[in-house]
Amino acid sequence: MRRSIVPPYLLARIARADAFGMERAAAAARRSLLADPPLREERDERMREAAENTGGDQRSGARNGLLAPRTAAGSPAAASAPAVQRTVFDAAGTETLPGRVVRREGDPAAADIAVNEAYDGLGATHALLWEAFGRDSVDGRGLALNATVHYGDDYDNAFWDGERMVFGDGDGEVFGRFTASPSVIGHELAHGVTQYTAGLVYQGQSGALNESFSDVIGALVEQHRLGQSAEEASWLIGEGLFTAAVEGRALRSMLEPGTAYDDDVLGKDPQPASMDHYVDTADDNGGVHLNSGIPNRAFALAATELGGPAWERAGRVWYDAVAGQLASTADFATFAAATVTASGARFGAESAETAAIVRAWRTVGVRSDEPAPG
Amino acid sequence: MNQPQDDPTPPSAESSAQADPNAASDAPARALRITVARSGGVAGIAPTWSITATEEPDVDSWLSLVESCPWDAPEGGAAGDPGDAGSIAGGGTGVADGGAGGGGAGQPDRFVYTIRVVLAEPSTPDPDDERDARVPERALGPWRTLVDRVKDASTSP
Repeated sequence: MRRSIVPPYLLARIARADAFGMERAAAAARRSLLADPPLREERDERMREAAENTGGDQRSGARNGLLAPRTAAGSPAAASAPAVQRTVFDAAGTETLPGRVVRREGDPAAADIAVNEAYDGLGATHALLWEAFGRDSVDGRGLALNATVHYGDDYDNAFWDGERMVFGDGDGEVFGRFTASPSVIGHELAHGVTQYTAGLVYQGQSGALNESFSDVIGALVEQHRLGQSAEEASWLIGEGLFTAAVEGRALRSMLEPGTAYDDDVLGKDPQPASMDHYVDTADDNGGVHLNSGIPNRAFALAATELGGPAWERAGRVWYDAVAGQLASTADFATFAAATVTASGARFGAESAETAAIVRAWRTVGVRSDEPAPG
Repeated sequence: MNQPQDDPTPPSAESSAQADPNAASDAPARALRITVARSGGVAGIAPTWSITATEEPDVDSWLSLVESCPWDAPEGGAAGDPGDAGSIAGGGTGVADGGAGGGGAGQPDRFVYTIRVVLAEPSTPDPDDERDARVPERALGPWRTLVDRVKDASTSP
């Protein structure tokens, strides 16, 4: 028998929980299918209003030489939305990429839930990037989105390999399949966005920023598809990935880093919530998945203070900063300054947005200045 | 030495339970501990697996597995003293940087394995012979048998 990090008593609990886990997954799939069309219409209405109020987007994709899709006239984004081009492959339990094509763009749903979750998650991420930021796919130029599911044997991970998304099925003891979380799909595709924009070096603080921006986009993908406001959102990354045997809600909590799980076997969520607890380590490329908790919390604090759809204000600023002139080796302080500059450019130096963002960075210990009055 | 690579059954990790009193009375006891730690991955959860072998046949079996790994290779190897490369007695510590820097930058959320081998001989005052390697997931190939067998035989998280 293959032993893993799970002791026998947990295995027994997992066995009892199997049926429950399947029900949850099925419920999530039903929820997304039911929720999408009306929410999208509602979103489009909000987008039209937003475009009229702000005068549209003149900056998105500037690094890639793109023109903004929305104009001051407020033409609906959906009317000119670029077509998403998705292909899902099946590695059939091997580590050979890309695998066999199992669903192309426009194909009806497959019998395999992992295939459909990957397909839907790619679509949801494409929709956020376009509708919120006017970005045409990961590269800003309509890059076809490819994903491979059923990668490896009991593979407990999902990753972006520079060209495609790759999803494991999990070991079934601690993790279920990694397609189950739209925030993880958004997270991985956002690594592609970062690759094509700021190119944040995957080491130390710039690596933690790379991770954090992926969490930001991952959270926004979920909120955007559910039509959630910042106040309503869970701010969890990877909700639903753990099996029922694990004492935990998700992989990470952006609003409350360090509280996502506390399990006999996995231990406690090790993410720090402020610079006071910054983790110095050589592992994990210098703790990129740990210290990302600090900028994650700054984003969630700013977004919840501002309220409403997080992609319209805090999300817009974070995207502007990453797609702007940010250095690939930026540290937390440099990135914080970039968000304050981006917020000033988009909303004004004295705006509520800029004040909330300055306050958030101060709360997590990255900045020590007072927020501007406003 | 035994050649466990050709044997589908991994060496025992709990050799003390199978101790042969006749054999144990002669040879100086050596204890081999191999630890595999995994970091990275989108989950950011870092499990550790380890085995300890104390019976000579088991120590030898595991050591032959250890020595089949490319400790001195540019990627996935340890940068120990070149003169001692290939021998556990030589020790050495290195970081296989093929994925931590360039490769890691290209493929976020991939796993990185840290493999640590300690051979202790209680009869000597400074007993530890040890080596470490940090191996990115993409370079795991030649290390895979060792890593998988430690995972399979590990009795604690």
